[in-house]
Amino acid sequence: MRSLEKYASTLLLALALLYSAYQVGLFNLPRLIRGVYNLGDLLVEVLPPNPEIIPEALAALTETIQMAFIGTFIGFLLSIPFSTLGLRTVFSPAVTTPVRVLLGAIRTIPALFWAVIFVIAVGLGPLAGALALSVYTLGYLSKLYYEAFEAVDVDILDTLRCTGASRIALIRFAIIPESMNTIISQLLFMFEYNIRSSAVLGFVGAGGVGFLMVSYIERLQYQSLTTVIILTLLIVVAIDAVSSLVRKLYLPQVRRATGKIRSASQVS
Amino acid sequence: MSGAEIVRIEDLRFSYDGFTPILRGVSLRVMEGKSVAIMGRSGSGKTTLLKLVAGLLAPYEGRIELRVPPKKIGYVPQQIGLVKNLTALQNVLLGSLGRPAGPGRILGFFERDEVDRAMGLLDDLGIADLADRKAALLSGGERQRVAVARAFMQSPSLLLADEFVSDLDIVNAIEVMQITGEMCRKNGVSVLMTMHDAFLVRDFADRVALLKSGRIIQELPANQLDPNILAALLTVDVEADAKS
Repeated sequence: MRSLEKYASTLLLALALLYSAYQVGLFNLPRLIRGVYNLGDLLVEVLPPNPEIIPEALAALTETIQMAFIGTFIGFLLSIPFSTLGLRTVFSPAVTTPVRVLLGAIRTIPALFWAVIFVIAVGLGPLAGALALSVYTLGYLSKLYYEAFEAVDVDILDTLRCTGASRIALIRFAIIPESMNTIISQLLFMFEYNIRSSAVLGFVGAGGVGFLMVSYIERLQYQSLTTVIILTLLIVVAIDAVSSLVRKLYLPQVRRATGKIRSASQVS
Repeated sequence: MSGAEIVRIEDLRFSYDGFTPILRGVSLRVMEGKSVAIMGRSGSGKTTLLKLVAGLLAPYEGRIELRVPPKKIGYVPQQIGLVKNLTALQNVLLGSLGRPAGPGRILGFFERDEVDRAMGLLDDLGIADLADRKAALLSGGERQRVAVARAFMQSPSLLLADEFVSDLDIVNAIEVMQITGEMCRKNGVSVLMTMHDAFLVRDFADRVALLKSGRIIQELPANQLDPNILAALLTVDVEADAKS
């Protein structure tokens, strides 16, 4: 009986897979072959990269980084009060439930869509992008933070409650210091993430390098597009390296752990 | 000094889910300036009983009368409950959070006299030199001492200690018990603690209560504790199990 169920479910899965592949056109061989030729043509068109537009691209990239920086910062500042209000270990469901629903609603809307909304509100350009990223960061960081905050040892909260500490004191002196490592590492993660997503926001007119990319695609200047993509890639890699450096500086635990492992292996 | 009841527990019943009883009618007294140790198997409801007395849980039935001002209960939980990213001194200062303070405190500024008192307590517990070390880097014994200092920062009338000194080696355990006992005597602090080491209970508690299946099955002077009495904790409580 059990093995029959197993065969039936495997068969069902296989059928679903084949049907989906057919629906998306994966069995349309002539079309796939044409696609390979088209890719070859595109490769010829995008190379070599156009060096003339480097200054223009760097200016746009700077705008992108500024958008991500401001967006992450504002979102972070807002996420601290919002995440604490969502804390079920400190506040009653009458407070936490509406806050969590609001944060959930913010997260449901993708960053790109927030960008559209803010382009309508404040017009084309990086301001719309920065505001879109602020809201998006608020939604995500708050969730990451209240989950980390709720993992704080209940013994700590119990002891401080016995001292008669207020809720604000509880958050300020126990929950935030105890979660500091998570706060910093998630913040850096969010910044890296926002750099990537702010490159795309320009597609809907919210400033930055994405705006430039779209204009090159529309004008069929694929060699200029290549330059922009390569530069974006380099910047993203550089920012990742910088943030991992910051991580090492501000998260001493990481450093200590590696130190211990090294000394342990020296002993053995 | 003694004579007055500081804690009076009457027929206390508690359940976390409303179905499984944890405490099935506990009655217990702690006299002023005295220390009572609760012994019992893990899962017998010791921690729950302490949390109820601390006011961290609400009784299901029965009553707890405390003759203790609200912020004068010092609580040392089983897992010590130190903030790992704060120093030993900062953790001790957390004991004074219940006191009224100016706007500077939220920024992390404590009053000079509070800092002096916290340093004095660390000194009493023999770890003044570790004041600036982060709690994450302290040993088990050092952490236990910081937790005691934090509780005394409240100038408590009642000290609740859960599985006190359980995680310490015997030398450290005796030392911490001696210092804590001395501090309690000096300040007239009453103690309600859970403990599993019969030797320490005999040496450091005035009375001992044996908790089994959610009830106090025996209460006696700690110096009368002997293996035969402890053996009662081992047998299965048929009546209680039948009721559950």
